Amino acid sequence: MRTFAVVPLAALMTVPLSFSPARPGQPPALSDRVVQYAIDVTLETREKTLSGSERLTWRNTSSEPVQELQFHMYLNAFKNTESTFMRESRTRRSVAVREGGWGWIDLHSLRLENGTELKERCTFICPDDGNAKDRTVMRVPLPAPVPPGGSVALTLKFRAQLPRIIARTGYSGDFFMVGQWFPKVGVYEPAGTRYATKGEWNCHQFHASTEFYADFGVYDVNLTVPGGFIVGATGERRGERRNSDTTVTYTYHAADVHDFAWTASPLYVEVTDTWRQVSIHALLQPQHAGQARRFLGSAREALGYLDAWVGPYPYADLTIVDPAWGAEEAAGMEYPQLFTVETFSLMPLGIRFPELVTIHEFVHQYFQGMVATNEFEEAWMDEGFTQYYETRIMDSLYGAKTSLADFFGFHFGDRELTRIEYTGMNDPGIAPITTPGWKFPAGSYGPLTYGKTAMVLSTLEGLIGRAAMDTVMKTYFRLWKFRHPCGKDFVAVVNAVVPVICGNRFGPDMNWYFDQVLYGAGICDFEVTSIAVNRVTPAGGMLEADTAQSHAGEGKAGGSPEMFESVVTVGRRGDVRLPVVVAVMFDDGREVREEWDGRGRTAEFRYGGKVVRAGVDPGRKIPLDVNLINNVRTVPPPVGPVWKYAVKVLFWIQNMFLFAATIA
Amino acid sequence: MTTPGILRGAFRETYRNIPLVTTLYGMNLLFASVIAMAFRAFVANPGNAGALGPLLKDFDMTLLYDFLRTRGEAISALWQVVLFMTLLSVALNAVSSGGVLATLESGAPYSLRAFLGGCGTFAFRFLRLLVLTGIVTGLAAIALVACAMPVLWWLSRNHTSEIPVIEGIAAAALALVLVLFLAVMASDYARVLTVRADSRSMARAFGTSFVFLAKNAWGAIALQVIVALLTVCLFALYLGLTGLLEMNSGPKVVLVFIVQQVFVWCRSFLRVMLFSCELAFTCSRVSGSGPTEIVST
Ligand SMILES: [Zn+2]
Repeated sequence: MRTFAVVPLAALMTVPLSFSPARPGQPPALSDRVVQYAIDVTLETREKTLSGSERLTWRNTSSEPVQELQFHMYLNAFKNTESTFMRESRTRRSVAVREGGWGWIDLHSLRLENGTELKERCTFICPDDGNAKDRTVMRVPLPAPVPPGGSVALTLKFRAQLPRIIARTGYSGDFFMVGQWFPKVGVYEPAGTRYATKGEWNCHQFHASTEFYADFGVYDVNLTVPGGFIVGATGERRGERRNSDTTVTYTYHAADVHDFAWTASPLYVEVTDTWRQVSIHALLQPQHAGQARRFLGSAREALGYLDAWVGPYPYADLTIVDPAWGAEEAAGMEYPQLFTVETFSLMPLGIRFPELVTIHEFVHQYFQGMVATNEFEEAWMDEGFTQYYETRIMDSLYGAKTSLADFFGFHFGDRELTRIEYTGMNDPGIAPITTPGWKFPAGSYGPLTYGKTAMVLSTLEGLIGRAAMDTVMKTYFRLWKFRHPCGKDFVAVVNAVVPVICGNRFGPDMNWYFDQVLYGAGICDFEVTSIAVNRVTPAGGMLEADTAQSHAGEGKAGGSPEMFESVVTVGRRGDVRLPVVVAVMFDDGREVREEWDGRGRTAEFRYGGKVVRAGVDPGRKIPLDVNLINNVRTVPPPVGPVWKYAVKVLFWIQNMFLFAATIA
Repeated sequence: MTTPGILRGAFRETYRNIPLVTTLYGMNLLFASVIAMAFRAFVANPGNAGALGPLLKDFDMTLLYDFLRTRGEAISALWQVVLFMTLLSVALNAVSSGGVLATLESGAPYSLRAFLGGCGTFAFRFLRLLVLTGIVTGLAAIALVACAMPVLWWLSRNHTSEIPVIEGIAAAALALVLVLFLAVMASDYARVLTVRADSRSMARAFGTSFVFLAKNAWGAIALQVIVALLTVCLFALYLGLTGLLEMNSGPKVVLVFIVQQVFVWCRSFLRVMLFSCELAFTCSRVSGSGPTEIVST
């Protein structure tokens, strides 16, 4: 069992957030800017290749000398069938690289500033799974260690073959989505960062189901593409130069980001909008240009919502990319200041899929983009937090029961569907959500990291209230933006905020909750087990005045004139123990609310009077509860809904038979 | 005879045979009730139904999903009932069309004995025809899909937009509907021709029906389309009426139930009327005393 110290809120508020000062004339640095990249890259659209030259400056922020560097060489995940990505994909995802669609990256040289060539020293390592054939992580021993606080500058020349679109990156015809494309240095975690007890590299292999982790820095990138290609990228476009060979070079600058992605296609229709200081660029497929308002409007709404309830979006640009037909593998992916969406022609307004994907990917600008958690090891912290806010934004914009689909009387909300993603698993208790991304049992990564985490946060909100939840999230964001928090850092914020706002209602901390739902895999299921109503024979004979009182046991609704006694039994079927409200209704319309701590397996509530209905969690504040059908019992069982649906079913079956009669 | 004349005549003929319509409606209700009651028993599982209260007021995805998930095994049992009853109903419909056509063909007022007699006379032939229609339609549909898939795949691979694919799917779906429509018409007219000529070979009747339809395509299609449009109008009327009536209380559930049953009865009426149309149309196109093209074997 894990326990975490309660850090006083005041102490958290005073965590030093001093980042290295900006250069004169530049806006202040928002992050520690560990890395600085200057990249020139040329896209050959016929061969689908990139030729690049990269100058990297890496700063040692630890207090010990660093002997080596580690790089992500992620395009090699698509090099052959033996990469860890491809091996894992065989069982986890239906990915098929068609012959000719492979992708890789070759390093031509890696030199220190003094001209020392290090290429021959480079080796590929496989820290996660021991797969010696994987080429996605490269180790570079340095001739001299980088001293604490010191920097090392390197120049790398590389050539990359883009894969046919797969796992968020590659080409499809003339459409290019270029992600994870350059040699990107890993994260050196000094002792005390996240779970590191000593300074060490955190540089994971490319896995089938996980995403990424990198350090903040500054990117200056020159992208050269053939004339006629429309380009979008992380950051701000600073220049455009037409070259003598008909190519065009676009210059981009991005600061305080941890990745750089870009896209090019001659077919894009660009539609722009603004929200306060932010320019929003939507690069859409021509057939989807009519849906521009849906994307831009959702982005504006999400900007406004997160600005109000989490914190400000500090960048000046945001680019929305609509991948080409046939490039669906590139859809729904987040990069700093750029994300990809997905839609189809003729998408009905009542199916809010374009809105959903825009809002989801935008929320990642906060929980992944700015709060840069380790997506390999703690995917729940980016996907789950994002999913939580996605459901909040969608439900607040379009209604809790209609936010995702509202179509011919059939409707459901985003949170409803998110909950079902988790509760609909064959085994919702198969693994804790804190499992490292590549170690989830097959099929459980998505439902647990997205669905369950969103329900964990929604349930936390149900327990502590929306206002306290907003304070938690604002505090968490303010403390951890442009840094690399881990799960215990979030728990520490909750533990600091909740006692201040809620007093001792939940005890000195919330570890009891997180131990169960983050680090434990148990399920939550409360029920009303039974309602027993018994007629009571009135006492006879000559009675003393005070014995004529109601005989209500622990119940608070005694004194009923009818001679009935009711016993409501509630139960906990799952392992998760939470305080729940039990609502008990009597035949005269009275309602009594009880608080049950949910610790025991069962609890009984006795009343004088006739109970007609009892329900646990009447406000549905515990969406982690995997079965809401057993949450309510009525005496006698209601016939209305039963007949309503029987009548409906009868009618549709009759029509089906008539249709069958017509065609048979 | 003109199309409006045939329609008027068929309406009068069906109106004269209201008990026949009611018999068909009754059979439909009986079969559907078996499923509906099985469903009712499934929903009314003791203890569960209390949570379903909000579903009476409005659709609730969360409750519906939890309910279906907690009753997974019961649902698969229910599906088996639905499948069995649907197959049975299809077979019974094929058999009953013999009774309907025999009653209409005789011109005599409806009697249950005559209806059942007609059902019995043509039962095996119409069941054979049902199988034949199924095989022919299935083969045609498979051929169509086999042609459409490579085209759709090519469209998908060679375009940067999904629009050509959507158009391709729409065209293929339309072609499939046309094939089904043609097969349904051919099956209907094969039955009419069989009843008129007491034909034994269903393959031959099906073939003759195709030849007949090829010669009289426009008239036959006009009748089918008009009756189909009447059904659509009826459905629109039903939707309009039930749109006004939300099933959120007991009396309203009863009211909607009545409207639904009137609708189903009207659809049965249109079904009989279509047979009557087809019979009259065949009479008017096939010369005088008997269908000379059809040879009994
Ligand atoms: Zn996501």
